[in-house]
Amino acid sequence: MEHHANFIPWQMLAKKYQIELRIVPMNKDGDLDLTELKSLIDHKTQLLAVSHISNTIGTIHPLDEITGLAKNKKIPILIDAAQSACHFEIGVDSLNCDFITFSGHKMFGPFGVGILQVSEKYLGDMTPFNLGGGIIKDVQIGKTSFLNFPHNLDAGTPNVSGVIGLSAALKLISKIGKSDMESHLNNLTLFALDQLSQVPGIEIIGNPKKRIGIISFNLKNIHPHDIASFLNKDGIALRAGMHCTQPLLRSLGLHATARISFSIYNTEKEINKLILSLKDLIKFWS
Amino acid sequence: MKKQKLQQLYKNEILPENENPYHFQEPLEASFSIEAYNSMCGDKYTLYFDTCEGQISSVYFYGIGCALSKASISIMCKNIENLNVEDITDLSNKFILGINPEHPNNDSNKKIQMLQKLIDLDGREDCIKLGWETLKNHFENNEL
Ligand SMILES: Cc1ncc(COP(=O)(O)O)c(C=O)c1O
Repeated sequence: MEHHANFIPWQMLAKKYQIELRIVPMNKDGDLDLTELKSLIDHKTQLLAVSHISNTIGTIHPLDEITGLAKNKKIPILIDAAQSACHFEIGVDSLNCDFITFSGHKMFGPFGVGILQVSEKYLGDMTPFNLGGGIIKDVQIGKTSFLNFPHNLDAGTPNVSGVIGLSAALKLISKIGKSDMESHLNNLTLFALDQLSQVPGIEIIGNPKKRIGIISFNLKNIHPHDIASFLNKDGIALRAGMHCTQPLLRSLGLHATARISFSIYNTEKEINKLILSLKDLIKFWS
Repeated sequence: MKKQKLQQLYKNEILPENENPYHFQEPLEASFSIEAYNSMCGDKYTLYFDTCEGQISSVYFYGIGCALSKASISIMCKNIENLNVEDITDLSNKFILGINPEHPNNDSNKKIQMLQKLIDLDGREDCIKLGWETLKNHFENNEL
């Protein structure tokens, strides 16, 4: 289910330290199999990592239930909030987890900058993962001591402009208000699902219990990249491909999808335009 | 590129090639095969080669991908039969170079010229190049 960013690091760690990596399966609807999750976590489990919202299907994972299961067994939890940070209230306390990660680029911020939030409990465990200037307390020929979190995690010349940009983006978001954004996105998602289902030959990927902001689909006989090129000419930007979720696509027997995503500036009128553009393409192709 | 031009190109050049690709099947036997895979988008084809007296005598391909990558590989396959390794490397190198608008493209083959002009199709360069890059990488490093 996860973006490669929340998968490969664990796979590599598992290889390096001979850790067992357990993967929670997903059903055809695009929901995680929570019964399976229950049986996968036990006294050996050291971390549970899960996204808040799937960047390919748009599934909103039932975090209350998931974190409840892990907390019961005192397992630390990491939530990848890249897809939700813009329009959901997040925080290690409110989401009942220990680590939260998200990136600037999905919340009107610059590329290449993001945030890691760590709960009080684990602050002391956060040690440098790469080394360089800017993270030290004292350096001697024989030994080095480091600053505390978070200053010990940003070795080297920092991405100052990126951080300033992200801060401006966060201010903009709080000015607009996350709950207004969420309800706008929710309305658009429901409207788009309804409209898309009327497009002949469309396959909407997944039917999760809760979904927001993202819809993946395929059209019969027209490859997602060709869809993207044609829609692009009508002024519609959508992503085609595997969306950095190869295991997810493979589990559904897919090679690629076309994916639409919404933000606060999108409108129902634009979704109508999308539908017209898709119908036009289907007619052209046949 | 305007939508009308894109439609024209697809209608006249890409779709016919896509719907009726050259040697698009898995042959029962082949001298060797190589994989053309774009891990960023998922397009994946296998190219099957038969050799005879130092030349590629026939090429088949099979797999999954967009209309552009499929059409481009189809045209590529038609153009490399009965060539030796040197000629194939030369052709694929020239093709890839010719995609760059800074290099004048002087291939006499109309279909190849058409493919190279598709560079105006913003963001689809990898689709056009997939098969050719695979060919170049293979034949630059392997003999028949
Ligand atoms: C759910 C999710 N996780 C992780 C990422 C990766 O973020 P980054 O490339 O900033 O590490 C993305 C998208 O970019 C995403 O959608």
